[in-house]
Amino acid sequence: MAAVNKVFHIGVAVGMIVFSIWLFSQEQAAEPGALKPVHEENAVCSDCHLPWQRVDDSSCDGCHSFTDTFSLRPEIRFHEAEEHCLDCHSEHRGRTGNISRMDHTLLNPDLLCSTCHLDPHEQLFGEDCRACHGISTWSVAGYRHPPVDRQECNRCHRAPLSHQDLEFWQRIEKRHNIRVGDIGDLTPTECWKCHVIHDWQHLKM
Amino acid sequence: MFDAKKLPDVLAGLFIGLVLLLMAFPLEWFSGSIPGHVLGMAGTIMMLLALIYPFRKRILKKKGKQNPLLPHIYFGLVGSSLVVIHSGHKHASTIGVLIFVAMLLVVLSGIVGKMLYAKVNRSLRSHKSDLALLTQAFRERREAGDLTLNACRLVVEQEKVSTWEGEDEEDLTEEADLADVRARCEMLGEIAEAMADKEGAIQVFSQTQKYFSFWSNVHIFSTYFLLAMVGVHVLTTIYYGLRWLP
Repeated sequence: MAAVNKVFHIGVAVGMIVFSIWLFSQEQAAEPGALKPVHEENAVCSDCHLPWQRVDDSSCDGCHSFTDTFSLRPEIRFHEAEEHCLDCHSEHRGRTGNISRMDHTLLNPDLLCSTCHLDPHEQLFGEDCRACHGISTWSVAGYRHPPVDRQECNRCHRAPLSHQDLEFWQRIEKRHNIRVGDIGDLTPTECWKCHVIHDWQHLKM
Repeated sequence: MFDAKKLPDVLAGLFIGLVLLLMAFPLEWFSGSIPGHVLGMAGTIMMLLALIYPFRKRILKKKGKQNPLLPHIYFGLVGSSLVVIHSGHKHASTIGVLIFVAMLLVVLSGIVGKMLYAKVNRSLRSHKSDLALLTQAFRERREAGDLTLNACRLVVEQEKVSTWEGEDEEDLTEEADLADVRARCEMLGEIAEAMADKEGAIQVFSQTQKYFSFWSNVHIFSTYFLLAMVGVHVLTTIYYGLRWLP
């Protein structure tokens, strides 16, 4: 009886080994998630995976090239300065999964932010955004607005389009029963007359 | 104060809780990350350490106090809990699904088997000890009164005769002796009945103990399967390339 039991155990163990070898030979069985349709349709496993080797950045170069950056959309032109694709991109995240992880701290430090981003300051503060902005949070560390008695708001801020419209000022006068001035001569640069610095939405009127 | 004897139950609860928690809130990104790999490796090593127990038991034939079960339970439950976190409940690959199912089978069969085995064993031991006491008492009483089964049978026969034919003078002179014999016979009968009950219970628990071998086999064969799948998982992971290797 014990001998039969032992033979049974050995038989099961051998069966498991055979099944394991078969399973190992099935590429699909190891796939940790579906590929993006574009990769699934145009690539095979061996395009990226070489046996017993780590997946290498060079495998991306076979299809993706960033030498002619001006042919790219502005927001992805920064790829020219990058070599380490796999730091941000990884596949097998499902057909609709996000295969990109945007991490600005991984980008080339010489890259200009304006390569991808529009400058809302209209270059009033120059091109070195990193001088004020933190790269991971984009917050401005230690920023203090100029003192409340400054009256040169228009050095940095532009009046919105509404402020160029005569009807806007007529409405202001009518609603608040005030006289803004000679509307025809009005230049919307004296922001401080209506706005307070600590709360731009709060008006003095 | 925490009772160390309850640690296996706590760990089993932790394992089941983790499985349910990750079912509700999967961490699919975790399995491929470096911390995820580290947890997976740590869990696998602990589960391999749990194999020391069956190795010592079946190969080295060490049993009882020479080969305690508790480390097997600790390593098995902590290791599998780490593996559950490692999985992040991401079951995209066939191998991943097979490993997870095999691990659940191993752990759950282990938990159920342990509970069943402990309970059945305890009850069986208690019934066997009761039966031994009863058998001893039965023998002692029978020998002390030099009672044989025939004597008791005679008492019963006598009662039947008395009931049907009435008592005569001769019977009345022997009445006191007869009452004594009858009382001792009744006592013996009660002990014999209790022995029969215990023997019945022992039979039931022995049968249940045989059912335990079913759980034991599920535990053993699912462990074979789990080991095979872990081997395939590790090999495929290295074969297709680990991104974080230098």
